[in-house]
Amino acid sequence: MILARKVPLLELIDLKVHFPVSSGGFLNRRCGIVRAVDGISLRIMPGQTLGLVGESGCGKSTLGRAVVGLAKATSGAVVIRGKNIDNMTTAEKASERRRVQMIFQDPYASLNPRMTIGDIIGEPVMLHGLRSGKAAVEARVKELLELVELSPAYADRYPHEFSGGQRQRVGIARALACEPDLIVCDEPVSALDVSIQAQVMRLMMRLQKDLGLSYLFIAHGLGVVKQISDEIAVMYLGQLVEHGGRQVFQHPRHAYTRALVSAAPIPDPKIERRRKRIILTGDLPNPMNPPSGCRFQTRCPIASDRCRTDPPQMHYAENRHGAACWRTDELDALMPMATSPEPGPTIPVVPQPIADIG
Amino acid sequence: MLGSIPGSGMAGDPAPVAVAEAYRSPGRQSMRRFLAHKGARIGLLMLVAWLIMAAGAPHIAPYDPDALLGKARLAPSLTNWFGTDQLGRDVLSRVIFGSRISLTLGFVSVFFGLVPGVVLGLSAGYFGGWTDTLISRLIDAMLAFPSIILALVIIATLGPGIVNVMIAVGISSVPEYARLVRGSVLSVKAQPYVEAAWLVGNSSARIMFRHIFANINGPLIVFTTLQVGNAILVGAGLSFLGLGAQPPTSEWGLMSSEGRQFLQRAWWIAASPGLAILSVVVAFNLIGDGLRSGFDPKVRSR
Repeated sequence: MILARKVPLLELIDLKVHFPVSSGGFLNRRCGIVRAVDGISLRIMPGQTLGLVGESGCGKSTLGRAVVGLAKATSGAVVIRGKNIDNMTTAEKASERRRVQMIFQDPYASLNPRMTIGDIIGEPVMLHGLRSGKAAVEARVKELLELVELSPAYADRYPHEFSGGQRQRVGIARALACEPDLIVCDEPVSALDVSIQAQVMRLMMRLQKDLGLSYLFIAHGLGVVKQISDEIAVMYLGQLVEHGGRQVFQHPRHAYTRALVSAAPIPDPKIERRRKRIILTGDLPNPMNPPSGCRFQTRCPIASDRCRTDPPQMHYAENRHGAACWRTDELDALMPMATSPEPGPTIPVVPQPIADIG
Repeated sequence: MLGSIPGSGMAGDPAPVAVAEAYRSPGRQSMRRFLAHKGARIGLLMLVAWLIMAAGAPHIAPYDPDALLGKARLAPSLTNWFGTDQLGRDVLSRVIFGSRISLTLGFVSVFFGLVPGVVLGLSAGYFGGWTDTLISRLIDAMLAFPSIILALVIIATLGPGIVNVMIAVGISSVPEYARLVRGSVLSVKAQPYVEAAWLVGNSSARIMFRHIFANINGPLIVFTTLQVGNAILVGAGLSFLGLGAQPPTSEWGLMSSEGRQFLQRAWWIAASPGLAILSVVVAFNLIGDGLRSGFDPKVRSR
């Protein structure tokens, strides 16, 4: 039984990433700590997608960077396939790092302008010895270009000759060149045109199906995450506020998620007319000095005295739908939803022609 | 619009990438913009002329530069275009032979400055932390002295001579190279493509040279070109002061120095090598300007 149980591909245990802030100037004193990620536990099973949502500045990108190793964990653990990366040897780390790759937000800044597309994609293949010999590497590059629906003839070109959507495909191909199990997607479509967004999303969904990839999909809007995710985690000011399956959209159990869901238009005029937006006022509080009690209390329309003093813990309901909110049970009365619990329409997976127009 | 004239500067034109340009690497595009720069073409022409003179000096010079022709301080004439000097040597021949020393000095001393400067700047910018602190403080200390003073100190230590001048001029430019490279590294290091390079398994050395250095060599090439001209100027200055080439070498700085006592009666002895220095330095500056507009299309070329 124990052997048959699946080992999570990625497990975060009480992960904290803090950045010291210096005053600069002559003495350069340390004047505070930004708690970008402050105690997050999550797991991703093989072949699954976890959507991570939150406002700008909530720490979601830092979380993604900590997973791939670009940010150093202050405490807590990043466990890959049951092994804590802090306990790995250098050689093990190098091989595990290959299996956890990243797709970056900015398709313009994430490709070296002085390298050809072929060199960019071929480099990881060569570095990790995934193919031996120049011809085999070149063949693999062509294969990867076709996999991301770009013409293999593009291998000799430079990044500046491509559109945003095409560049993002190159970024995906570079990640795939490492033959990863998990790809951290840091807002991979937010810099693209809406029409191109859908194409790239379809591509990513198809790649997941064909290659059995797992994604940690980071986004600031619910819409994009909704299509691709098996599970959704909502982050606020360095902590998780809600975590679960599709119920997170259909029936949010945290006041913050309700506000997020209420902000998205519903593509059904009948329901849309009934939709009431819950407008959040103010900005995200300073992560150097988070509010007492529940971190959302400064902006929460229904915060009580208890919310202002006691930090709520994550409580999971029977359907593995968790929320960290003191007033979960009263939400339906206090913040009613316009929607009937129906999932939003998803974009069907249709084969796409090679290369996009943008 | 002027844009239709072939070869005219099209820098800064935001028009879509032309088909003909589609396969060009960023380096070749810079080259094309460089050649479209009028000043750069003039500078390049001047430099090529000097290089030919330096290479073919024995064949081009009308006289042996050290031969005494009998008549001292002859004014420029058809037989001695630039006249003769205080000992009766042909000034034109000496200027032509002098180009060998000055151009060698320019290139060699830049090499002595470039290599250590780039290594120091790259390490400081890339590794950060105490490596950066150590190197940056060293750079600051060296920058506290004007580079000519620094060169004088090094000459005083090594002793006068043209090779020592090359070393001194080179070393005195190390901090400027290091500072330039460090700054450029810092601006490129945080780019996602550098992070991606690390993520896909590049070693530090590969990231530094293939991913970072390849993207900062534009400003470096411009600076190096200007620095060649500057090194020639400083080298000639040191020879003028008697710290570089020793008589009877035909070296421009030394020739100016020797000719300065005769400035009122025989101006050509000092003026000819002076004009030679001027033209070489101007050539390198024009090329440097052209390169700048080649690497940075936002600076309009004319």
